[in-house]
Amino acid sequence: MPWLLDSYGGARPRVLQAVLAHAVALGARSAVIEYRYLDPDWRNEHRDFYASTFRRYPSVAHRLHFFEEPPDADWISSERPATIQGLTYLGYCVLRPVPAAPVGRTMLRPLQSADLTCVARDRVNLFGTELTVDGAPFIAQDAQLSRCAQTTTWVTAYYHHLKFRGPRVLPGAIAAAVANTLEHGRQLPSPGLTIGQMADAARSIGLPPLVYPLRNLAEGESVPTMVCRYLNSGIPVTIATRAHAFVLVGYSRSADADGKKLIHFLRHDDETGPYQRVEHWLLDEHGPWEYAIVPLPAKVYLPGENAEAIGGQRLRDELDRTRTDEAAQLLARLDDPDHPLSFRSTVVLSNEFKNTLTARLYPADVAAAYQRMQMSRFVWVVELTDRNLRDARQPCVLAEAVIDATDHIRDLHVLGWRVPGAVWGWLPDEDRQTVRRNLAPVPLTISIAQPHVVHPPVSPG
Amino acid sequence: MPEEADPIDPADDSAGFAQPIGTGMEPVPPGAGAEFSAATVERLRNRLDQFDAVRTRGEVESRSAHLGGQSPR
Repeated sequence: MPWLLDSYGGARPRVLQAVLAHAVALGARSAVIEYRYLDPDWRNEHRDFYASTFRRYPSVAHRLHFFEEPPDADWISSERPATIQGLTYLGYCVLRPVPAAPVGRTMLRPLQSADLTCVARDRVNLFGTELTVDGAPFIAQDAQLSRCAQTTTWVTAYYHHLKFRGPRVLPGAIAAAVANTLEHGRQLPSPGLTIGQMADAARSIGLPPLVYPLRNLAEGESVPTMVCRYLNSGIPVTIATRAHAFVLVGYSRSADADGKKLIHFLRHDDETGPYQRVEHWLLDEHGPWEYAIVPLPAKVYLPGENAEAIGGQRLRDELDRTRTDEAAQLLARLDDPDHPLSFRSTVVLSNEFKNTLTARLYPADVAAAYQRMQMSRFVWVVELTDRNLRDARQPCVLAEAVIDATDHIRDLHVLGWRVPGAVWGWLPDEDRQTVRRNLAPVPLTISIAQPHVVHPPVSPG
Repeated sequence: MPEEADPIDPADDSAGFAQPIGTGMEPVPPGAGAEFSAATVERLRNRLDQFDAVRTRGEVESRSAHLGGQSPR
C-alpha cells in the first residue's frame, strides 16, 4: 500500500491515503492495477476541462481493484488464465492522472455494513470476470471542474443510477447544469456553488431536491429525525455548512456513560475520504450544519414529514376506533415515556415493501392482503415502532400505514394500514375501503428500514 | 386508413379480461370506514402547511446563502 500511495498520491495524497487505509481496514491483501482504463467520468472531465490546459493530461486512467486474498502467481502469469472468480472483492478506485486530485470514481465496501443505509450494487469487469461490490459511491473533487458542491451531486446521481436506475450523470453535465444561474465567479475553474445552485443542479439531472434549513426546522422536528427518514429510505442527504458540503450515507446509534443516546453519521467527504464517521454532528469540524439538500426520485412528491404526519394520524385514529384491549394498550403506550414508541417513516419501492413482507416476519394473511393491494411505485411506510428494540436492531414494528408517495396534498388518504386485529385498504379508483378483520395477534415485525436486523432465533419444530 | 380499434370502456376496467382475483378483503359499507374527521383534516393541513413553509424558507434563504466567496468548496 505505501507503494501505491507513493506512486499515485501526487501533490495531494490525503484522500487516496484515506481510500487505501479503508481498503486495508477491510482486510485487503492485494490490489490489481488496471492500466489504460477508460473511465467515463474521467473522460468527461478531460473533455470538458483538462483537454483545454497547457499541461498535458492522459485521457486514460488507472483503476485499482482490492481483494481480501493475497496475490496469486496466476494473476501475473501470461501463461495461465487469470482466476479471480470466487475471490473476495472489496471494491475499486479509479485514479485520475491528475496529481492534485488523483481519486476518481470509487466504490468500496463499508467497514460496518449495518451502518450504511445507502447501499447500492456496482458491477465491474476484470480479466473478463464480472465482480460486484455493495457500497456507496465516492469521488474526490478535482477543484477545477468540480468542487464539493458538484461532487455531492455526482455521488447522489451515481447512487440513484445504481439503485433506482436513474440516468448516468457525468461531472461535466453537473458543471453545465448551473452555467446559466451562476451568481458569482466563473463556471471554469469552478469557485463552488451556492446552495440554490446545488438544488438547481440536482433538479436538472432529474432528482428534484427538498431543501431544509436545519436551524429553523418545524416544531417537533430535529435534524436526526429529518435526516434519518431519508437515510432509512436509502436516499443520501447532502449537508451544507458555511463553506463545505458532504453527503451522509448512513448512521449508527450508541449510548454514552450516562445512558444518553447518541447518533453518529457516516459521510462521504470529498476532501477527506469515504465513510468518515461523524462522532458528534453538533460539534462538526466543518462548522454548524446549515442546510440539508435531499435529491429525490421525481415521483416522490410527498416529503417524509408530511407522510409521517398523515400515517401517524391514521394509526392513532385507527387504534382509537378499534377498541380492542391490544389497541387500547398500544394507544396508551404511544404517549407513555416509559414505554417509548415512535413513528419511523421510510420511502421505498412498493415492490420492495411487498416482496420483503414474509422475510420481515409478517404472517401469511397480512402479507397476502398487502401484496394484493394496488400501490404507487414509491410508497411511504410509516411504522409504529418500539424504540428500544429498534435501536437494538431487533424486530420492532407494531403497526404501519402505507402512503402513496404521489398523493394529493388536499385529499389525504392512506393506501393500506394495519393495527392489531385488522388490515385495511383503500381503493383509490372507487374511493372505498376494504378490511380483513379478526387477524391472529401479529408478532413484532422487522422494519422495512432494517435490512440488517438481528433475526430472532427460530424455535425448533 | 386502418380501422380504429374499439376503445376500452374506462368505466369497466375488467372489459375483455378475466375478473380480478380475490383479495381476501371485505368491502366496508359507506360511512363505516376510517375517514379523517373534518377537525383532523384541518389540524393535519395546518401541520403540513408548517412543513411546507419551512422548506420554502429553506429554498428562499439558500438562494442568497454563501454569496461573497463563501461558496461550499
